Amino acid sequence: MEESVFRLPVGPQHPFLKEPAKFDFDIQGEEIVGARMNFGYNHRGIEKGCEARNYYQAMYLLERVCGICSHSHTTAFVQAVEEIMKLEVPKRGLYLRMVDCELERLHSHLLWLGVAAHEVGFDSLFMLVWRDRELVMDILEKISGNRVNYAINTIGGVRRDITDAQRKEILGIMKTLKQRLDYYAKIGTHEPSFVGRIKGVGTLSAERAAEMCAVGPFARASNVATDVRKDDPYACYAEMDFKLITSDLCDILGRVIVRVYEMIESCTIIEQLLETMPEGEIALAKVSRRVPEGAAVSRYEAPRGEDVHFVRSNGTDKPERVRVRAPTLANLEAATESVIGAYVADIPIAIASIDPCFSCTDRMAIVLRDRKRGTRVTTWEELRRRGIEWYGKNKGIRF
Amino acid sequence: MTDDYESRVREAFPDSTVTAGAKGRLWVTLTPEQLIPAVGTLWERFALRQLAVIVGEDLRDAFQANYVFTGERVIILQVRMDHDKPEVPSLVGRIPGAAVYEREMKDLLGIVPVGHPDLRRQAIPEDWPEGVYPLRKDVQIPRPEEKAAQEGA
Repeated sequence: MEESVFRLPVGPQHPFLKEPAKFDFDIQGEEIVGARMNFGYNHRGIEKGCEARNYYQAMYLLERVCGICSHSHTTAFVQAVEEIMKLEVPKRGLYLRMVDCELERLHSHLLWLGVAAHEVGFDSLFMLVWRDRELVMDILEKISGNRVNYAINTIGGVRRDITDAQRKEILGIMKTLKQRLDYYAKIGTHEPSFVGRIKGVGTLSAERAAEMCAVGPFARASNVATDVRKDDPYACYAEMDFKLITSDLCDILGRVIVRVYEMIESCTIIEQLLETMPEGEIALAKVSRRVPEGAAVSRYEAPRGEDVHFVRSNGTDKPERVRVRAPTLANLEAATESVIGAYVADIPIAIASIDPCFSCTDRMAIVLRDRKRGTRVTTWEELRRRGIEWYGKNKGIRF
Repeated sequence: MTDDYESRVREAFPDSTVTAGAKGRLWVTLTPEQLIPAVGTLWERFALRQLAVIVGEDLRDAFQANYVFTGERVIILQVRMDHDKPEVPSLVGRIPGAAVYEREMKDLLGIVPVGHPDLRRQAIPEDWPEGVYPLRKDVQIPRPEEKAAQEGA
């Protein structure tokens, strides 16, 4: 029966997720007997770009690595730079960074849960989850001004403080969110149509997960207890009281359980942070633009897993080398392997179960032309030209 | 700050320079030939197997590959090689997860992981010129000329 193996190519354009990746599945009947993947169709050269920019510009560029975990990349980067510069970040700054970090985890996991429900055809859960995701997005918009690239980090602290009214509001929303999450935990683990679809699918053993260097919720669902917040605490995570969630199911159900309970832990962390928020400065007043020679490895637990940044400085205001290791890179190969043994219909959910990182869309503001008061639309070219002129006139910077 | 762990690492790598960095990170320098035994030592004596990332670097007069291992502590193996012979032994046989990082290092810096089973291009397009490695310092990628829209254009 060997000759009945059929090769099913998927991608690289839009292969069940909005990100270019190419998969080759060997199928025998309905069963997948082999899987390979290739990626790198959209290398953007961000690492090279960072070498031509100063640290502040590189920080904003790195924020654009990903639309969902934008805060993760800037935090990992500024942590590395702060380590080289030996800066002592004010505690309130660190707390605010962590609030954003956990909010980001909440919105990312909620997004994933919605996508997962959608992939298995459970669209009512998808809509409920995404409704609640808006609660988190609204908080993020209120405290940072942006829904996607928050631009809240700076070298030596954060850029925006939160008011007492905002603090109380977030605490209120966390209460609501926790109730909803309890409900999702019940559905995710008991609803027979959902559980029947994901139980025992896309399995990856603990040994194999460790061998393939898998990270984040994907590894934790295969019972590998790894979490940078516990293993190598950064910011003030050592002071927080939270549980490390693992599951020994090693399948997609395990990944749902890990993520849902992790969100409840995130709510707890946010509550702790807001209740014990210290007073004081949010950032260092003066930070040198030049960074002394050195190298640092910074680890950060992004929603999808461990995010590693390597920064080498050469004494100038531009980095010598920046290396970004996003969690998906560590997980993709293992995820491809986990598909083997499943059915063709399980491919989308099995690959999506690692939460592959595709650039998320920002909300777009559309202003219609106003005939009475003349045009109100600013085109991209005009905006660019204005920016170039403004900086030339006011700051003496020529582009 | 010398602790017990650090002295054990120093003892395990007698021929190398071990530098202690911030947050207890340990930086160990190696030659390419020492890499495979060193990875074995990390696994057997320190139970370090999680390879977080391989960072290739162009130091202008040499190339360096940094192997970041994470676990109880973070140990970074720094392998320095000649500028004329950028080759390191591949770790894929021991750590399958190393494959993607080695391929990327080969594409972007031209550091060849000797013994890697699958060296198809990963990070650079198929029509990219042979022998041009974008992350090398002597490769300049010109900045596209900025054109501001003219008034009334």
